[in-house]
Formats: sequence, structure tokens, C-alpha cells
Amino acid sequence: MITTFALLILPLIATVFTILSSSARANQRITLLVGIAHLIASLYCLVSLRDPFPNGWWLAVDPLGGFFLTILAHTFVLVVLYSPSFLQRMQGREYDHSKRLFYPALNFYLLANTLVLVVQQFAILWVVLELTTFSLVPLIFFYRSKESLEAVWKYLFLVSLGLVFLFVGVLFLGISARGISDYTAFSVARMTAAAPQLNPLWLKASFIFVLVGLSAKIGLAPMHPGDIDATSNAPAPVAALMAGSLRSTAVLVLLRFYQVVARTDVQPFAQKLLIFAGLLSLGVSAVYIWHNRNFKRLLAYSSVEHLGIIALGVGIGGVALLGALLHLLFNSFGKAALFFMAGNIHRSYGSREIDAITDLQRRLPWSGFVWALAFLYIIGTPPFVRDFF
Amino acid sequence: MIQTANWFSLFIFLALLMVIFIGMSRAVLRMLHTPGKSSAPAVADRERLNLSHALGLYAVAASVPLAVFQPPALFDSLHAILAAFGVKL
Repeated sequence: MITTFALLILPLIATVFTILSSSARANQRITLLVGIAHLIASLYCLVSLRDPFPNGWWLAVDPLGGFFLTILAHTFVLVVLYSPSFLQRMQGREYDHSKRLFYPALNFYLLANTLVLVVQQFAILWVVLELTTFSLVPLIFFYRSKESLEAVWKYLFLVSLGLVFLFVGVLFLGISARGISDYTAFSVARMTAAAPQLNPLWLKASFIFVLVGLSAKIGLAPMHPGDIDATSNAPAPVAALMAGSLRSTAVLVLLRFYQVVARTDVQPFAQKLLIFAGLLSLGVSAVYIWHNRNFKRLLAYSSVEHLGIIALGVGIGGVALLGALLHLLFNSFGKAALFFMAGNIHRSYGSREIDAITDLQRRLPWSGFVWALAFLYIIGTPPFVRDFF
Repeated sequence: MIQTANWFSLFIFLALLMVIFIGMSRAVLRMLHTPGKSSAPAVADRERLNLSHALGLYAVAASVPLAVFQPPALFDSLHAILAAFGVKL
């Protein structure tokens, strides 16, 4: 009961509290407390493998949900700890409104993402996934510049388009189960159990639409541009949140569908699709990383690359699936470090252009050091053995 | 890919990783080492260690004990996830 409270009720209370409260310090403290309580509850679910929700609910924390909840809560706590110094730097009346919305949006983001991770019903999953998109709008639009407005609209348009595809995928999944299951069978557990009886043709069509639809949210090619613009125009803590946890949440939704497909003859087809999507994302990020002149976009394309590797791992299956899960976890660590340092560099140089950043090692010795270290980490250099399990 | 002898995919994967690695290294090294127009900042302007650096250092260092000790709390859960996908290691 306490775990349920910490996972869902506390973020809801914190959202309402931060909307009503005008004290930035109180908002920061309550957000941090909720983040820590959420992290403890998530770790409890992960370690004990216990589901805090009563049987028969459409909410449940299975091992997969527990793992992704931990990634979400851990990234959230790091971001909340970093946020006060970021907000302190944002002086000027043009930021007042954005600063006012920052903590309510952050808490709502935690609530929306938690809902996605605990909902066990495909149709509701689609609805709550849309909430995560809306929770990000005020955060991406923080700078209130022309570029961030364009990034918000592009993100909203592409992700919403993706969600239309996802909706069609959900419908096709329902059609594939026609005649063999009742209304309640649309839950993940019941659909997984009934998987061998699903119509393979409709299931194939469903998975194609689900993968394409979620690509915009995950950041897989060719639906990645909205995510790139949003990540590169968002403030550093928001970009860290997007790269570290939002993409993971979308991967979980993909895995929920894949959980069903993995028990059918459609699995080899789905695996080929995932491998293709992974390699395509790697190819696209290779081209853009090579020609890119903006260091925040560089990190955003690095996320496309890493999500490509994860899609590849899921597609290959077996021990590669374990590698993909660990890669998700450690990518959230590394991206947080890189985006925090990117925020420091942006503030000091006033530019995101790589050519404008000179002598980083001497001008910002600590940020330069952590930036270089996090870069070595993200490319998997020993002793950061994240890719060598 | 190695197990299934899908050498073509493996080759593309490694080649793309190499291109990305070189592309990112080029950008990061340029930022770190390209000499600026002005000389080194005065001592008073020098950046001091702050919470953001500590968070960054923690984030990159946290994976090392996880990799070395492979805590059962995490790995039991991961194996339970794999079992849900029909994977037994």
C-alpha cells in the first residue's frame, strides 16, 4: 500500500502542491522528496519482485516494470538535484513563467511516466503514453524562443502522428484476438497467455504499426527528427530526462507488445524488423554525428545510436536482450552526466556550436573533465564496462 | 549476430559504430583542446567543483560496481524479465 502511494499518489500530490505553491525552494524540496520516495519504492519493487497493486487491477509492477521504474526514478532524482543550479542561472523576467511551470511539469512528468510503466492494459497504455508527451511541452518550451517553439510543435506533431500509428497497432492487436478472447483479455498478461491463438497476419500488421508509431517517441529512425529537435532545444535537465528516462519508457511499451509477439510464430518477423530499425538508426546517427556542428544535437544523435543498439539487442534476443536492458540502464546514467555538462558548457560559452567551444579543458576544467569522462563512458571504453558483461 | 552467423549485419554494425566513434571523438577532442583566442581565465574566474560535477561523476562511476559485483538484486530481476520473453541463460 505504501509502495502504491509512493509510486502514484505522491507524484499527484506533488503536482498539485507545486501548482499551488509559489515558493521555488518549497517546490524543489517537495519534488526531491517525492523523487527519493519514488526511487525507494521502485527499488523495493525491483528487489522484492513484488507487485504493490491488488490482483485484478489494470495496474501492476512486474519485473519489467520494476526495472524501468528504477531507471525513471533514478534519472528523475539526478535531474531534480541538478535543477536548482540551472534555475538560478536563468535570470530575467522572460523566464519567470517557465520557472513557475518547471516543477509542476516535472512532477506531472513523473506521474505520467509511472502510469505508463504500471498500466497493464494495451488501450489504456496508449492513452497514458500521450500524457507523457503533454507533460514535456512546458519543459521543452522553457526558453520561449522561436527555436524551442518550433521544436515543441515538431515534437508534438511527430509524436502524435506516431501515436496514431500506435493506435492502429492496438486496433490490429485487438482484431488479431477476435473470437478467442473477451474484453478483459486486452490486458498484457491475458494477451501474452493467449498469444499462440492470435491471428498471425493481424499480429504482424499490429507490430509494424506499433514499431513505427513508437519510433517517434523512442527516437528510432526514420521518425527521430522531432525528438532530436526537442532534446537539443530543451534545457539541460529536461534533455537529460528525455534521453535518460522518456525513451526508456517508450521502449517498455514496445517490449509489452513484443512480450506477446515473442510467444508466437511472428517473433522471427518482429526480430528482423527490430534489427532493421536498429541498423537504420545507427546509419542515420553515423551520418549526422559526422556532419553535426551543435554539441547538444550531437548528444541527441548519440541517443538515436544507443536506442538503435538497444533495438538491435532486443531483435537479436537471447543474451543480447540482457545486454539491451543493461544498455538502457547505463545509457540513462551516461546521458544524464553528458547533458548536465552540456548545460554548464552552454551557460559558460553562450553557444551550442562546437566551433565556438574552445579550450574547454582550461576554461571549465571540471566540466571538461566530466564531459570527457562521460564521453568515454558513453562509447563503452573500459573501465566503464557497461558493454562488456 | 555471431551465434546466428549473421556476419553481414555484424559487419555493418561494427562499421557504423566505428564511424560514430570517430565522429564523436573528433567533436569532443576539438572542444577540449582547440586553443581559444583569449588566454587562460583568471584564478577568480576558474570553475570550481560543484554539485553538477559530483552528479556527473557519480553517474559515470555508478556502473563500475554494478558491473564488477553484479548484484543479485538487479540480476535476479533481469533474469525474471528474460524469462518473461522465453529466454533462459
